[in-house]
Amino acid sequence: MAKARKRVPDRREDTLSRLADEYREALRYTGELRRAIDCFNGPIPHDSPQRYLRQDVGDAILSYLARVPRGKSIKDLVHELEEGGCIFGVIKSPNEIVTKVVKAYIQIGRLEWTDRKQTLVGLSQKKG
Amino acid sequence: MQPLFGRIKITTIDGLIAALTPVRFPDDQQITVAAVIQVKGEIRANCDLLLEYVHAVLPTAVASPGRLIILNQLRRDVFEVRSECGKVSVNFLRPRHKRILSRLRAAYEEMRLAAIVVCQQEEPALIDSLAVAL
Repeated sequence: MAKARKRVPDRREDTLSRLADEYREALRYTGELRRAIDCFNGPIPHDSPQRYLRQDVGDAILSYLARVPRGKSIKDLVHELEEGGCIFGVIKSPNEIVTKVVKAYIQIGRLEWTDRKQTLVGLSQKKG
Repeated sequence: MQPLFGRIKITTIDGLIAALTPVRFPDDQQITVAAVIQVKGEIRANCDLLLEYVHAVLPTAVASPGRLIILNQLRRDVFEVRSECGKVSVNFLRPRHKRILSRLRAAYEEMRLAAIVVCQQEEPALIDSLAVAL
């Protein structure tokens, strides 16, 4: 028996519905994974490729700079954060996001430029 | 008559994304006053929603310095965009070059970036959805 051919709008709606189902399932699974990860205390080891997964960009930069002796450039920070599994998305570049965070942290006094040309960032040396 | 429960606050990134309207700056070289008014209206609406979100979550962020810094940065950027929106171009009866919106466009991009950084802290999976929604 010949299969009844669906109209294009019907096929489109079916496809959209299937994609929406898949998306919802992926979101649910993502949430479950996140909750499972959050059940564990303590930081992810420094040598793990996912070491910054649980941290936001600002905290990841602070923890990295606390481990290294000298200031680092934005390019170094981006490289380290990407290596450590920090999530940036695809629309805005990691460079833009890291630069924005660094400027906000410098404004508040948590970070500072360590060279005169303002190319290297380090932890702020000011007390209090 | 006053509504019984007042306005529902936006407290999640999901809610924010659902409420935002994507802003498209005109691509034409010459833009009309009507186009400028329209784009500024859309931008102001998004600014209000972002401020509403920031004010809703700010009290819960006091325990986390990182969140506080980024939320305050977003608030500053929103005020900067609103300030740019408030600047009126004079002698604007005929279409003008699109560069009259360049400062507003730059301020809006900074605000968009700050919102993405906030989203990166709260819901990393939704970064791109928020970037598109703005």
